[in-house]
Amino acid sequence: MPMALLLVSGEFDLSVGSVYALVPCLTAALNRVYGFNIWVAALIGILVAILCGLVNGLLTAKVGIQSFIATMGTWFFYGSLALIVAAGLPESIPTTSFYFIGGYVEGLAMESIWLFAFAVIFYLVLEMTKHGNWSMATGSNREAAAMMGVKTGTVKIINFMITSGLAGLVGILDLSRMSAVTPTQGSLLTFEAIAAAVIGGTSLKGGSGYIFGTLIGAILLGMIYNGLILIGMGWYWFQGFVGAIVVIACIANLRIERFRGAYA
Amino acid sequence: MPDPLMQMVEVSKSFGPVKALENVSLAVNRGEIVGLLGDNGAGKSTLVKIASGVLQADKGDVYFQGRKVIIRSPEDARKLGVETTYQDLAICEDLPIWRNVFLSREVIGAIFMDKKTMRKETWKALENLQIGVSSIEQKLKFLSGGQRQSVALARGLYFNAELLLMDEPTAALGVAESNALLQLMLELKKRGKSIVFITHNLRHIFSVVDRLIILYKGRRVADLAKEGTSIEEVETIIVTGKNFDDSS
Repeated sequence: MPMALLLVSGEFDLSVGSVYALVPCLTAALNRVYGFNIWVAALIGILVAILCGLVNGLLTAKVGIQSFIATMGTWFFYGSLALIVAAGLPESIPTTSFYFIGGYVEGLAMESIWLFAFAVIFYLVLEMTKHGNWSMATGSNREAAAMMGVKTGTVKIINFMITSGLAGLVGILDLSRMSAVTPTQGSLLTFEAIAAAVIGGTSLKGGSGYIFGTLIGAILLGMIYNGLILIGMGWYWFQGFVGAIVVIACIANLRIERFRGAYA
Repeated sequence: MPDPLMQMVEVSKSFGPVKALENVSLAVNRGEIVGLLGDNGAGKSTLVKIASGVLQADKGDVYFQGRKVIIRSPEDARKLGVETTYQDLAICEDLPIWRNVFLSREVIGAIFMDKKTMRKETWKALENLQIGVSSIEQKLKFLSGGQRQSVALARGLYFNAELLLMDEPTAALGVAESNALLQLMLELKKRGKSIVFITHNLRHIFSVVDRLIILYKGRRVADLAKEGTSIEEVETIIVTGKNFDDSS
């Protein structure tokens, strides 16, 4: 969903997969090797994630590199950092004291609660706040938005920071659930996040997007994943299904958009 | 009668070795429509960009309502009451009408934007100009060129623009739409607004303006009242840069 917000402002972030791996590796290492309290370690991890987002944002909005290239570079870089921090091996944490933030409580997956909470938050941000309005304007026509007084660079940087920060948070939640992390995890996460946003009707060109659509996209991806395993087809099929659905959803969104535009 | 709203005095601007403007002066009176003419490369757009804060002049002064002002950014210009509309540049076409009208000047409630007020005010602004759209939720990309121009104008006027700089507003419009926009300009003039109208279309200019300023290769070569000149004469000046009976 933060990816949807970023896409709306006209950029995308390929590096989230690496941030998702780097942050829990760092957190686990700080906790296990350097004896930091797990909460402090997690907080540092999130701050590092936000810093990663700031770098992405500065490269894109200030230096002027296309976000595809800039974040591809940082994807490699942050991915490498994850390997260095973890010395190439899976990291684990000796503590389970923060299991409850990302694990199962009373049989309820905490990650689903985070998902819905952020769906509501991002819906409000995109639809109801000035920042959401500015994001749409920036993605739609950056030059025009700037002429009308929108600080388009700042908007992009903030969205990069939010996206990256939450990629780090997801990494930490997974760490709390599994007490372990692999430095190479998350290679597909980037594209799953973009896929969810696109299935939900967000345009890669920026300017428009729907948070609840993205939520549905994310849930749909999860359902396909689980469903394929449940019916015994295994997850080899997963990518194929995701690809097909992305394309079909895009065609459908295009038609819906035209229809709504003509009769709004 | 002369009650200059905005005056630019001996403005010069160069881009590297290219002199885009050389000591150009221009005054716009209150409630006046001034046509700014010139062939491609004459410096019209540069002059407008300086007035609207997009570019800064190398030399020269700008006065607004008699006071010397320094316009460093589009925000500065807007605060003075100078609004610029571009042919198709300054709108966000993926956004609905009301979001465009209030962009960067959103009405904020306790925490969130006050959408209700913004929608209501957008309707009022459009009605005020007798602009017909079926819904303010329409995205601008589904509007005609004339309607887009009108939305841009409504935006400027809602925020109390006194001087409208219109860069080729009719260039992309059909005949009926152009006429509607020209009518709107006359209506705005009646309400005391001043307009600088840039176009290549002499017929459009002659149907609304009071005065014509002609640039030729970065210099002002003529400042004529509409009465006492003709399309043919103006055309000759634009092409040759020579003004045979210039009194100034």
